[in-house]
Amino acid sequence: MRRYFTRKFLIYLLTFFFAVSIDWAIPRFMPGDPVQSMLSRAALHPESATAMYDYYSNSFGLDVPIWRQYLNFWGSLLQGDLGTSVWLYPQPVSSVIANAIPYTLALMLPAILLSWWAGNSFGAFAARRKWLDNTALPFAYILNSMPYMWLGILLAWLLGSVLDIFPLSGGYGYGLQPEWSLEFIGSLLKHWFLPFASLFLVGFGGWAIGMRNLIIYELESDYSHYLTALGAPQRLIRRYAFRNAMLPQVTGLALQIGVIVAGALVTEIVFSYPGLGNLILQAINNEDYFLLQGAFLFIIIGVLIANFVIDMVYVLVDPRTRTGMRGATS
Amino acid sequence: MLRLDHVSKSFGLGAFGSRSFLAVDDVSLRVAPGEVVSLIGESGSGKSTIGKMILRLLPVSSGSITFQGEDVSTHTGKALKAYYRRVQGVFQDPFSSYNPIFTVDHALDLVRREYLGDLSGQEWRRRLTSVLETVSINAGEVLGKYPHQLSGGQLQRLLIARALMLDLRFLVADEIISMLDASTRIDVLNLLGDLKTRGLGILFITHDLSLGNYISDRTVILRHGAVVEMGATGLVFGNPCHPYTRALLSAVPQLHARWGAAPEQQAPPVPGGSAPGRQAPGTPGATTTAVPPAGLVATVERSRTAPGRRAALVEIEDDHFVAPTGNG
Amino acid sequence: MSVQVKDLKVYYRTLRGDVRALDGASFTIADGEIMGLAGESGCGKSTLGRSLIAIDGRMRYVGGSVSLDGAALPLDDQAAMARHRFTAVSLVPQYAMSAMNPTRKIGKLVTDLLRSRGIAPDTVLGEFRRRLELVGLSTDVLARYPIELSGGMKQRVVMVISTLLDPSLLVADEITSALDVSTQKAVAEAVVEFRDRGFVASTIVITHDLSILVQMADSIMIMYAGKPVERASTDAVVSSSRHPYTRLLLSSLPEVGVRYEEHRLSGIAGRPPSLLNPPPGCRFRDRCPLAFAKCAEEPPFVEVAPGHSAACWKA
Repeated sequence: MRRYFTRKFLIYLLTFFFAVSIDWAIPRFMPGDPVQSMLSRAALHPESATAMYDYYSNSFGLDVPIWRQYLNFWGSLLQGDLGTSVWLYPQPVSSVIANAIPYTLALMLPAILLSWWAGNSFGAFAARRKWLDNTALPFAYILNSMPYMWLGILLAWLLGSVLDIFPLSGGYGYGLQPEWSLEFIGSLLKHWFLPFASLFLVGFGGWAIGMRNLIIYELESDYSHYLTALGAPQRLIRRYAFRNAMLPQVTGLALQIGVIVAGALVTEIVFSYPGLGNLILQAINNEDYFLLQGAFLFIIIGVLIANFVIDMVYVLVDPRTRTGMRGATS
Repeated sequence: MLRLDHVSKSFGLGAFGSRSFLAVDDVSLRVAPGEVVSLIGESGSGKSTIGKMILRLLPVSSGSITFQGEDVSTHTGKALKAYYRRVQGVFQDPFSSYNPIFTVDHALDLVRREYLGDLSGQEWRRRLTSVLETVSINAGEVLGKYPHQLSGGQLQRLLIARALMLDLRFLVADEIISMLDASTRIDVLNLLGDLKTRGLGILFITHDLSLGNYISDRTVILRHGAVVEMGATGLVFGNPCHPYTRALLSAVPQLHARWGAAPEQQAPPVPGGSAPGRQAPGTPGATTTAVPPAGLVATVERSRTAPGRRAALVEIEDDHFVAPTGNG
Repeated sequence: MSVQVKDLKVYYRTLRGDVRALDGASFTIADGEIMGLAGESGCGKSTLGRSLIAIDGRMRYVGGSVSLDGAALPLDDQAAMARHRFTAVSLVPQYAMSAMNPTRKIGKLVTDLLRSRGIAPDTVLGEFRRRLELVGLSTDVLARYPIELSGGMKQRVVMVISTLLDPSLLVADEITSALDVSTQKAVAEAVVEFRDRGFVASTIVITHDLSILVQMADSIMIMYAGKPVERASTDAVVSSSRHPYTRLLLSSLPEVGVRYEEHRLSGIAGRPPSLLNPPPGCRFRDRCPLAFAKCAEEPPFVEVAPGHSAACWKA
């Protein structure tokens, strides 16, 4: 067991290393020059522009050879220094990201976990109940096949523009300052609802369909037939089927997390929600290497942690993996 | 014709192959033209692995397989194709050997496209008719049908026919009749007998001792990947010397005798053997006396991680070899 | 008479109509009797076995009755039938290797099962442990998951679970066919042992392997194309069978000692008729060497000698 955890941990460490390296490389191989574009916005004289260019190149650490930049990057990363944002110069990237992260987490965590829980419960309930299976499942298929942002746009149009119940963009009302007041929190929730709903609904449909199919598979398995042959009531058989069908759904969650996160980022953009997704869009538009790197870094860490947790959970819930680790196969 | 010399096969297990599992352990045997050799063993004895290695579906870990003097494992490209013209295999489940969405003709056409492209349509049909006759199949009843419309016996015959379309010299028949019904399986078995008289070498892989006994000239008994006894079928079955062979034979259900009804014959002492034991030495809890009340013999799982060359088989009479019992 | 089956008919629903998989079977099994049920694939032996346990959605109960110790089993009412399962009729399935929920410890599984049937686990768990030991298993298996057991061990655990409540009728469906010879022998002997100890009253052993029935069954019923064709004591079936199908079937079985060179066996030409629309008359007549004009009429399944029934005009 311990060996298994150590091995998993090493694998995750290796993945982290490669992902971060790629994260470093991508913005650097993008076309364009961030300092140049920053200066061009300032509309300076050509002479002073050269001096400014040198100054900024030096302060961003872009005037050394590329391999040096890579080493410097790891060096400062390990000290928790993610560099300075080009877009919001001279704010450090870490503080820009720290402001955005709560929004992203508040959106993603409930959306992922609730849709997973609700989708699985509903799917399990609908399986083998003809009426529900025939009416509700088609909707689940439609939901599941929608891209997040498209559903987002639909919801924004219906609940935002047409019915005018929810605001269309931003994290809170324009006239407000972040503070612990009832008004602010209310506004926060109102703005949060639409992006959350679009993430939740798409996820819900997918998990419900998956669960329904898995339950049917489990109900057709040998152990279910054996229980029937021994006169066990449907209740027990369905309980077993649900437990066993949850296992692939846990793995499914691990596999899906990257996709869900990507979808959530795009959804943030649709609603101009002030989270990481929005930040990434701004960083790309402004060729802000450091911010882009920093934002991706947090996504990488988030996805890796989520996967690691699911790996551990899986070991705890499925006795078969534990047996495999002990090396005692049948 | 076909020789296996000290063939072993190990499979890596665990992450990065940290442990290995010896599926076939230093097996040497040969099959002559016009001879059926049956390879008998229980599940996990490595019998199918041997068949797959002969058919090049698995690489050999050590040792060599030679067919008509050529080392089989080195064949590539043209040489491999030429090898498959002469050596073919038929497997247990006839239904999974066919693609269910095509008619059975498709399986025959594959052979034609791969190997017999230069045959004229007329020549192909002539050969097909004669081959189908050999396997006692009525062409009209079978051709153009889908696999599910035919019986398992017909499908297995057709697979044999397909192999016969080539320049077949050697057939690996891996449990080919174990999924067939009693009333049809014997005919497929007889077909193997007919092919043998036409000079084909056949390796008949089975777990069923009575089938091996019926059809084969020579018998190889495998246990845990190693040969425990081999030789002329009459000798192996008539005078089984290894305790494992005897245990197997005594467990075979017979139509006209009940278990335990036949008097236990006293076996001649096994050369180099220690006290005969039913189970492998070194097995936890393996004692000959502790037999559960219901006579349930626990399935013995023996650790097979230790490699190493086995002690040679001992020839106790002409064409009858037995493994020393100390070796399991 | 412990088990009495009268003219039982169970068909399979298909898009092209009913497949008459079991088209009228009548027989009785005495207390303590092990009846072997043999025949080739599609003869209806598994359908018969299944019908006695649970008729599922693909099957259709057409007619006939089954009574157990004088009381009729509600074959066509699955809810009512559920109450008789496990306690009165029980099954050792073919799929014993995968019959137990892989994510539940065996002890927990049995407790769950007993509770769900309204039986206090404490009243039977002691007996369960005793019987596990009887078949050579340690009671440690209660704390283990099925995957931690070998195939032979799982087979034994399932046998013990199925017979835990001392059913009047046990159906053992192809329990030996996937096993190696040595395990096969052990399982067959365990079935006899369970009968001898009174864990089960009557047993039906379904198999395609006649030679294993010779080892364990008191009587054998041979089926062909949905109907029983012969029923007699094991010795009578093997040595003095009356039905031509039985005889041909027996003569096609190789035994240790029979060699191709010395004695060439032969199979039975032809195939069984389709059960979608079976022809009238004897269903074996197309393959039968003894067939004559009268075979166009269906032969009744009657006693041809004391305790020996057959369905053949020439029996």
